[in-house]
Amino acid sequence: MSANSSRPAGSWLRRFAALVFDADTLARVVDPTLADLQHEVDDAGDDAAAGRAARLRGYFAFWKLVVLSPFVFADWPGRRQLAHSLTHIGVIVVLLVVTFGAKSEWMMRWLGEFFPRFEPRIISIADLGPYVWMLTPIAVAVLVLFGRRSPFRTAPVAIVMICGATVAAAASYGAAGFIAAFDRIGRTGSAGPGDTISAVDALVIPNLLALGITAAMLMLIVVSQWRIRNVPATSIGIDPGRSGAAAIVLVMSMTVSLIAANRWLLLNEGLIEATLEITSPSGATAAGGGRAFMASSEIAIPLMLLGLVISVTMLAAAFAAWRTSRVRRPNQFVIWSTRLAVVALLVGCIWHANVMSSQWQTFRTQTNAMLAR
Amino acid sequence: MTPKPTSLPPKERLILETLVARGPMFGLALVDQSGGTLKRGTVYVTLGRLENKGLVASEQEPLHPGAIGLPRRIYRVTGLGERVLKAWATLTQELALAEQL
Repeated sequence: MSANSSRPAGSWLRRFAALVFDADTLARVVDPTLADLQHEVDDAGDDAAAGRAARLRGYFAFWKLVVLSPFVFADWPGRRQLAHSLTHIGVIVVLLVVTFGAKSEWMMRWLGEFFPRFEPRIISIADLGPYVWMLTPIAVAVLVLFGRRSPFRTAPVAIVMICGATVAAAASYGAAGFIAAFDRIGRTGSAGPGDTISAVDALVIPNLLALGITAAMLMLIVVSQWRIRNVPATSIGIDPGRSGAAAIVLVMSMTVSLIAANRWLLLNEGLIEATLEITSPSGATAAGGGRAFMASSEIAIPLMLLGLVISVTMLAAAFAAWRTSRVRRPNQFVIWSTRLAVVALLVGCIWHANVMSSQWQTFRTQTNAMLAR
Repeated sequence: MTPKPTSLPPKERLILETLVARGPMFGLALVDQSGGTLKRGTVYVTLGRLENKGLVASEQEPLHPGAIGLPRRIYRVTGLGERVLKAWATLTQELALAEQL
């Protein structure tokens, strides 16, 4: 317990925990863990090193608790909700990694180098990724439409963020795969049609798939507004936030998820533009912009990791939104922001899919001409 | 239906033994006393299970005037906890004797 500080250590963690854990778990497990942290930091007094060490120990204990919670609360009251929710997020993250990560060039190379024995098995599992990824949103849509206990029924904000996470992950893995496949141009300054075609395919296919599925999912959710009239909470926009602060945080998270997805897609469109310059029939190879961009091929792994961080953060925010929506009354600000976000995401999906598919067609025409020559 | 017998895993037994030997303690003190067997991140989960079984009781430490932050919890063993620990020790001894025979 701290008597000499205006905001005790771990107060933000306590707010986060309030979104994730039920009241009983908070009182009996989380609060004592954070109380220990505060007590130790308080004991450290002016000793900065001891204070830092106490914080590190306390933060580690807290996050360990969060990560292990689906398992350690096996016989805990209220654990079902928590375990199901975290498992749900875990499944989505695994799908993101398997679908867009394991098939990417750099990851195949990395797996082959470090885990040669497991590579064939992992890659064969990864082959299932696109099919699983296509089936998942359909299953979610069915849950939204018909499931009585669906976690999505009351949280359209969460759906918007999950869609944003999907697009951001697809776009970042696509970009990482593209740059890794296009590695030769970064090292030698030239690339054959074979390198170019596989690189552009690695980028465009996951992007278009994610955009298409996201758009379809959003449209199904719009349909569900009319389908389930007797459950008002299922209507788009009926969502969390009795308090103004919670509503602002949710709307900001939603906005960030949409901006992140949009930025990743714009980056990918820039990459394809650079490839179009290289494969242009006029022979004007990319000098400067396009080539310089691709020469930085070592950014493939940071690109993927950043995309993963963004996706996981969005999923965590979506989870928090869902948790909040279960206990709070609707807030008009969030209702209208969600409606706006659904429309923006739909329009954005259609817009980016249109730009990217038109770029893909141009690229195909140009590479066919190159191969004919 | 036959009631499920109370189990006493090693960590729960260690907590009960420590509380019986040293009296009421904070969770962090139990971690320090355990010599690395109990961990900060999960000690309160184990203590919560013991509370659910009625073997341990807890209360918040009193707040000083003007103090901010979360109060810690003090844990003590209950009468049932002491009896279960004794019964468990007896059972372990009996089993060890039976194995020797």
